[in-house]
Amino acid sequence: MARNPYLPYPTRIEEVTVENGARDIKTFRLAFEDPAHAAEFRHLPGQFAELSIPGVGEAPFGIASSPTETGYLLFSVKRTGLFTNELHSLEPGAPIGARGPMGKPFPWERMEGKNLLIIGGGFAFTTLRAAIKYILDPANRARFGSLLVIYGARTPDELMYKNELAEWQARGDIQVHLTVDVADKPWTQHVGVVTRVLDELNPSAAGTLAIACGPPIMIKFTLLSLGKLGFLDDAVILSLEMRMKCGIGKCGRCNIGSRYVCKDGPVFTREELKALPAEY
Amino acid sequence: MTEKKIPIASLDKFLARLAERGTVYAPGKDASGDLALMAMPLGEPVLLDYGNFTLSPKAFFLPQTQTLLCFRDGKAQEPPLPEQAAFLFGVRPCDAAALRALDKVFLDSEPPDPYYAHSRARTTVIALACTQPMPSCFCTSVGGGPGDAAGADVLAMCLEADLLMRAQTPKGEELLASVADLLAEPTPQDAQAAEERIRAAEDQIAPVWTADSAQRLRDAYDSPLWAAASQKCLGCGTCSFLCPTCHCFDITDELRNGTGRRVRTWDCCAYPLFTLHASGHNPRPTPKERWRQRLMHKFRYALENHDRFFCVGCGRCIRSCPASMDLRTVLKEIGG
Repeated sequence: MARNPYLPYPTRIEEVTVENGARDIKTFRLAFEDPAHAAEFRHLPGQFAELSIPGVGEAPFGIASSPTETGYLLFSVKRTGLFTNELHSLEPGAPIGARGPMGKPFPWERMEGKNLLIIGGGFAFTTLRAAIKYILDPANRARFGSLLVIYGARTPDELMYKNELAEWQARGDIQVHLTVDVADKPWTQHVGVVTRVLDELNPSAAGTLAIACGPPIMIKFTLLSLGKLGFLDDAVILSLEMRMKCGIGKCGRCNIGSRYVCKDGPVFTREELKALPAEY
Repeated sequence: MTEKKIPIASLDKFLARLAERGTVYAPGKDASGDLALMAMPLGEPVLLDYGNFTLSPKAFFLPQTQTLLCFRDGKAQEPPLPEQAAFLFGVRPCDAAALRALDKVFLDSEPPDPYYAHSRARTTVIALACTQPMPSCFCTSVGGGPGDAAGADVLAMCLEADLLMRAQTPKGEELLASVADLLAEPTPQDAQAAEERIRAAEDQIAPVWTADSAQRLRDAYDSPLWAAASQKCLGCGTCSFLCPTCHCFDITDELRNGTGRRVRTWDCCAYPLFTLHASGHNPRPTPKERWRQRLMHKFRYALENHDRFFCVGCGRCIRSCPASMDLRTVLKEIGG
């Protein structure tokens, strides 16, 4: 019999990494209690899961780890509301539930053979990290063309995954441009919004797919810049956030028109979104 | 498709036979005097002469509060589900049709909902054709009719002294077979009498303009009409709670000393918190967007997703709205 879709997989927090000085963004590494569940949980970057704390509830988060990182799942979470406050109080060893994977991933089949432009802002970089790790995996790298990443945050301290960003910047098969709104003393990289860096780099739209995740204001201006660079609407891939409960298209709150962000998304092309009401 | 008849005088016997196999619910009055599906025995004769129940029977399949998981020592477990069969006698055709709409979401869309599927499987629905529609009824404009009980296992129709019973599903066939000794063969005159009664009921129902609603609503998405139409809305949710097809729900946790449950409860798109993000952003910030969503869902999005209205024309939202809002008016005005 099929597994009850409301029943979370039991997992345990293995490691908690504080991502910023404000200590309000943490990355949680979860390991499945049952190896059979780990094998059952097969995701692709772009998908999300509902984390579950009994007595507190559930909330949806993009999966920050790539399926090529086996044996665990990563979730980077900003402390914002009831659930995330409780989650941030948990320490390694604490049990936690995970339901998923949910939603549609980035369009990996379409992305094969294409140059990829990844643009991220703030703590929405989570599934983008998963995508980058996936592309950089030795078994996958040759399936994709060039990889250009622009990642922006308010301050250098607010950039997540700092060690990995440095590792990626040292590699030859990925170009990573980091930018901050407000620099501090040691900062030597870009200053300004991501669109400024994007305009400066002026990447070619030919044979390229763009993936953008970030706050609404960043997305708004990124779409304008991508349009000017010649990216067609179906070459621009976005990932949406919405309040969710069930995660399986039943509870009714995450719809945009006739589509449900939880099961038809969260990944949509700009073309798909244009056909829907602007209710997000 | 088996068709039989039973004398109305034998109805109690029929229901008593069903009661040997499970709980039987039949039309009666609840504690506050409202017409409701009440667990037998009722203590008074079963009603056959009524408009419709105040509450839709959706709660039998999607309870207002339902335990999804039990927590013990911090571990989540599936709750035990009731095994006993249930028989609903007297469900009106509109409410039976609503089950077909709910089936689309909870059975036909992956993954199926195990709790809904369980309730649906253990429940047999015996619909009773309408002979006295109410002024707020409009089933005939949304794909239904007073004698069209898609979604029911058996359709019963009141004649002068008999009930005509038509099996509509294998479960319905099985039910009629199990009480075959109480049933008689109907005559062609019986079938004709039933037809006439249903046609007479149909004639009493005023049509509502639902044709092309998906296209009209698509064109009218930015209409100023939504702001005007939603002005009276109190956001109370009465329409959703009474609606037999409204199925949106919330999920919350209750826990004390490590023991508790995860429970789903009816929710409503008229509530501001329904779509409120943790960040404070709300994609449907005012009654205008929320009321538009309600109508768009029923008369446009549902057609796009499931090829049917998510409205069965039962008229409860019209009869019970404390602000006298009427979706029929909006559907007409949206015609442009």
